[in-house]
Amino acid sequence: MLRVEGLTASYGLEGGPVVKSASIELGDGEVALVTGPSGSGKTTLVLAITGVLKHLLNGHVTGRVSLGGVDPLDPHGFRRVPLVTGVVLQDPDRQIAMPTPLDELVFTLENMGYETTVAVEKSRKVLEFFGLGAKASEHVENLSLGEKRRLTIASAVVHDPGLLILDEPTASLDPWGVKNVVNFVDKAKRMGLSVLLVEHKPLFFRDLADKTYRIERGVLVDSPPPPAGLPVRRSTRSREGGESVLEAEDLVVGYGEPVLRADSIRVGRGEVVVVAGPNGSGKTTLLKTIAGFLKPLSYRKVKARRAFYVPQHPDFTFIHRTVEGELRDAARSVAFSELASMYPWFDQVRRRNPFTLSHGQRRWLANLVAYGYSRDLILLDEPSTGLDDVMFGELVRAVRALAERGAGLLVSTHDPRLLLELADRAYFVDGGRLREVDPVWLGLEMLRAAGVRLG
Amino acid sequence: MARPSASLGFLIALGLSLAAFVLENEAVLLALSLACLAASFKRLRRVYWVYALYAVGLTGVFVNAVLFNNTGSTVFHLLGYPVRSGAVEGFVRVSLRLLLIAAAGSWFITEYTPVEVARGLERELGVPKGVAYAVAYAFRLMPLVARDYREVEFVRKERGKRAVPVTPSDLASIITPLLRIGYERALWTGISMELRGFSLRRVKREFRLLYR
Repeated sequence: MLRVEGLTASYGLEGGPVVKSASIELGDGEVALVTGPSGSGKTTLVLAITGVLKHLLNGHVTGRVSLGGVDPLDPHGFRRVPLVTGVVLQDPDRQIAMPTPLDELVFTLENMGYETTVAVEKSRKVLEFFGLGAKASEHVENLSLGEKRRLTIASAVVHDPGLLILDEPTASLDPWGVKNVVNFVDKAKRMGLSVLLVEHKPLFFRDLADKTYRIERGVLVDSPPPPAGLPVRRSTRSREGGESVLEAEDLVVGYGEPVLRADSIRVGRGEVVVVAGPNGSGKTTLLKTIAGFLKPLSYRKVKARRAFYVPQHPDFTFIHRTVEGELRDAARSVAFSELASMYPWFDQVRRRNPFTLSHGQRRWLANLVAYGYSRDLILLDEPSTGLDDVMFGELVRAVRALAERGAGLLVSTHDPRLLLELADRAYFVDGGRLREVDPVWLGLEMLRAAGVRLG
Repeated sequence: MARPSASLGFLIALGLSLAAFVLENEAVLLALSLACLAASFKRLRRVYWVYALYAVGLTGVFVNAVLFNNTGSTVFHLLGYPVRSGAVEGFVRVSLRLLLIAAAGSWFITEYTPVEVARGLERELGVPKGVAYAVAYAFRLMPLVARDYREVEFVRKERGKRAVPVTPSDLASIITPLLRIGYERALWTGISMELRGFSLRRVKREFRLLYR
């Protein structure tokens, strides 16, 4: 179904190749898993294989590719790629083009030449299959992230292609959403669909993959399946928090309607406390309420030191044109020199625009801006979204550095890694109520919920 | 119940907007505006922002009328300043013109789904598919941009900066993240549309007067 031979790809003739001489062979009904760290060329590989890099992004691609007999590197072949392939991109918000789920699927089918009435009928059936039948005419912004992900998969397979390419399909999903994606890949495989999965969290798909490849610095090699079980790398004991920087009792948060109730929550100095729960369970609302930007619906006690909230997307934090400008402006509770010394790349990037930094560097800078404003309480909203293990390691280092300097950190997440490798204490959103739990236990439970078999 | 097709609706709304510039009779302007408002009455909440903008615009219309058409007899005093009949007449006429444009636009927006508009423009009026579907995408994008803006506003307040831009520097620091994120989103959505066969899309031309 998919044959790639000696594929080399670059963004223009002057830059070096991002993918070097890659070869992949995928038969009917097979699942191939491509893993590798961020920046290793995984997404470029997808763009090169589908012809997008060559025909839409002016990239340079050599080698041979066949997608069910279609050559995507040839201009005529590229136009036929959608007929034989469905592609799911990393971020649902960047993939969904139409206002409602029904429109999204009908759009795909009409492009393929279906009559509108037939397209509507088929789309409704496929939406039912993906559990979105009741939401066919809702605006897509009313869907949860997990539902949006299912919609992107539905719109990629609605026209029955023989090959499905998924680029980081579990990014931003909670374990229950991950389980849905894993189940779908399993069903697709049994239905004879070939699947190329590009994923930096291979653990979720290890039981489904017939072939595993690893890409590192653009070089794709056959790889053994990812090991079963979980590498818990927690090396230090959980630390006791110092003086309280946040204490709240009977706190109810929400937008008009109650979303989340915290009977008791506490964060101490030097402590990393994680609030974990599914997408849409009110974690962000809790953080924004603690930051003082939303009023609590009710509370018995809320005692919080000055807090600074860092949004999920670090770019929203920046307001200056240089890294140095950001840190100078943020130096309110901490000296600029201290902030600069805490930024490992400061000397190389001090004059750079923050928006031109790598994702990991931007995330680190946003955390430092927060620390500059508040040495007391820093609120991080889903800080590990889209981070591979290397970048995740950087995040852990950055957060630990802030905690060691006495800041208390409250982190919202649905990522088990944060629970297993960073949290000193944890709360879980259980039926709209916050409950204190053991972080390692919760991390393992969340992995189990995602369908990971733990050794 | 039958209703005008999207392309006919588009032509009606466009015609009413152009008529707003030409018509002089205030009663006719008001009657047409009220007709449009009545037609979209049940869905007016969806387009409250059109009327919020209209209300803001009225302030400018009034200032303009007082500055450039304050002639005739004095009708009333505002903060000690005489407002004359010419300014009042000018204000009423221009306000009604703007009301008709706002009402025709909001009727069109509330009457058709974005995809109906895109399909109508593409199939019935022959607008290129890239332009027609940009309209549908704009409707998809609006809530996302609003969400992004709220995040920027939130962090600016947190950092002790003005949430409402006053200086060019304020404006740049608000717009830069919005543009950066918006550009990336548009780029990837374009790729996604191409990978779902947008270039294969064949337009079947048809003109319909009514949707049943």
